[in-house]
Amino acid sequence: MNKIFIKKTDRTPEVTIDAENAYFCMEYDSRPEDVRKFYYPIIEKLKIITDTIIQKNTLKYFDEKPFVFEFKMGYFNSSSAKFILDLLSVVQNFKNAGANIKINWFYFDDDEDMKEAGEDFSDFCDIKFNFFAIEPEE
Amino acid sequence: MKKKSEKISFSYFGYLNIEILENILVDTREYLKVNFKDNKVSKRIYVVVVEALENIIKHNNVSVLEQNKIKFEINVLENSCKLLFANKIYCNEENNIKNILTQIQNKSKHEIKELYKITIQKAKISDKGGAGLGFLEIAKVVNKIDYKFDNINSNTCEFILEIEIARNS
Repeated sequence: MNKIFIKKTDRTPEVTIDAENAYFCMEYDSRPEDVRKFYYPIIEKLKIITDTIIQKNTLKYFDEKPFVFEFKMGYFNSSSAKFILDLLSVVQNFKNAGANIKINWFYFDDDEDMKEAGEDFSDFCDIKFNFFAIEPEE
Repeated sequence: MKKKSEKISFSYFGYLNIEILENILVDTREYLKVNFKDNKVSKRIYVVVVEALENIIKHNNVSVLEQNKIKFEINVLENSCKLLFANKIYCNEENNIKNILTQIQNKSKHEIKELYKITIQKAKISDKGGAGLGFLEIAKVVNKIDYKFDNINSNTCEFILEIEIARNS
């Protein structure tokens, strides 16, 4: 299965991993009761997908169409931040292996702190992010 | 004694566990939505409330927690909001908390960011789900952190955390 969809809850974000369409997305809020139980399988799945692409030597597939990673978070707590960084280190390894990737970081236009969090992650993992300000939901 | 211009706008006194935390956060979100037009300030208050209350649940000794009632207040002033959190801890935990907060207090935003960068890269998730980033996450968004310990008896004391967030930042 190269496709995963995790529905959002009050405490956990919606997560989509779609390897065939080279797309990953995480959105809404993240403060899981058991942060390891929530994030480990997602990080593991992403690692398997990216490692498989590297091993099968199919990185060229992304030359024309990059693997897109999107983050549309409203809020995440400090433990989630640690796991988002772990997730980004998988992306960093993928990029370093030669994959053409794109990271899109969305934030509400009245939430500069969320933009700054994205800038920090970009700095921590040394990957350029694209930033998009969006209007808050009512 | 509250200063004349200071009013308690939101407060909770009672036990704290995961279920109660959920209810407090729902009420806090509702309170912030109704009372704060500035989403930036209300988000910062929410960040502090989540981290401070999750810290209490994750880091306190269970046997103390069983008989531990916490206090949490949001006080609105003209130019800032003051948040207060008080919970009972064992006295031997005092130095550990002091060491963490001493590193954070009076640091510039740039210094906090650098410390956060080092800490998050080294962080290990504890069995209770903490990454050791809670106070730093708070320090990133607030203007002032104060704390004190009031002795209750030879074994336990009350840890009081006071946070100030500017309303016009």
